[in-house]
Amino acid sequence: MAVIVPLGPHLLRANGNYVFAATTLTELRIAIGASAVVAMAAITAIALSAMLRRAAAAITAGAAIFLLPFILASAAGGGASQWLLRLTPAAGLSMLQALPHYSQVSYAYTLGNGYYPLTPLAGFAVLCGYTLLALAAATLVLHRRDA
Amino acid sequence: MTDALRAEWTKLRTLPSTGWLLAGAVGVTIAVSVIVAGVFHRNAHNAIDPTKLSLTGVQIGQAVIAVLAVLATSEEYDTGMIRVTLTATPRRPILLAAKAANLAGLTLLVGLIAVAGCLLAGRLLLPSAGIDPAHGYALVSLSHKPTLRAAAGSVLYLVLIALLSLGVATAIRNTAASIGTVLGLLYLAPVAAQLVNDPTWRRHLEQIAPTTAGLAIQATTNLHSQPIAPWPGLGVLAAWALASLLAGGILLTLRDA
Repeated sequence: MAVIVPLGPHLLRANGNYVFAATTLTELRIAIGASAVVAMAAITAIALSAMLRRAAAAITAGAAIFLLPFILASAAGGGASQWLLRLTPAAGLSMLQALPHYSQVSYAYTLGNGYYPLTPLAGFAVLCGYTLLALAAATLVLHRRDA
Repeated sequence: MTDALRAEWTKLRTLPSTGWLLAGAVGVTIAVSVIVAGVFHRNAHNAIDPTKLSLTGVQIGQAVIAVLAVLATSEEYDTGMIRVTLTATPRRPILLAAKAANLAGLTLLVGLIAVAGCLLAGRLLLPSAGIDPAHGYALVSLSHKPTLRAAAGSVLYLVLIALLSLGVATAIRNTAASIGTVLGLLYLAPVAAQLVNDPTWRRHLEQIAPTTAGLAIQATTNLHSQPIAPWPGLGVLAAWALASLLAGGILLTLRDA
């Protein structure tokens, strides 16, 4: 992330694109936040694999809980997509939010335009909640079952 | 060939995971379509394709089909069964053809049920979202030629996804790596295409990626805005499936188990 965040805009500008300015603090938050999201996703995946105990099931479930909300959100659009990005683990991706939200400006604040429904930290908290839940369930299951 | 077919059928039929995955593929596909059709809100700005919307579940159901196809081969390597299989069927192209035929048949059957369920969901649920004849949208119906093409194409799409996954798993021979590769191929390409700003390059990417090209078969309205025409799009996916089966077949023939 420390490489991508500065490199991406540089490449985009080099190719003649207009890139919205972001403060160094925002870039830092996105770099750290994105890494934290990936780390949380990895922990959730470990918990899932401890519960499911099969590579095929765990990989599919892990991919599904992060991809499914996005695919559904882009298909359904409107209010449903906003709720999907609030309530599912995909909310953690709010950490990638870079553009400021101006409440006095009437604009389509949708995912397609680069806006997530939750603030970065709130979205990350939702993801952490799911991670904790998965870890707790995995611990319980691991204690109860025979290997 | 008949013996190989029967042997593969016995293995596939007697695995407990096969039944679960087939039921899961139907259930997930229909459930996603029901949810999308149920929560959809008509937005005055964009044109809606009721058929395509009803068939959204195929985008998720394909993952279950891919897992089924991968497991049919990779589990044999994980358990060592492949050595028995190759002793019984030493001619490897025949073995791969038998696996492909069995998977294609099962997927065809499951795809028919799943797609029929999706269309039914769209027909029953979309009118309450304001997508009805009163607003200028016909009910989802197979008597509408493009809808019939989208439905038949979606079933074929699932079959081709199964064959693509089988080829990848035959080449990679490991469950986790094969599923990761197949899901990446299916789901990362559309996400990557969204990130490409240049419209020409995005269009090219969507024309060659297996999912975005293959799913063009679902479009029934506004065909000019699609990256690729319906049947050529499915043809691109067929080329992917063929290439993957060829690569898998060549590696299967050349390598020791």
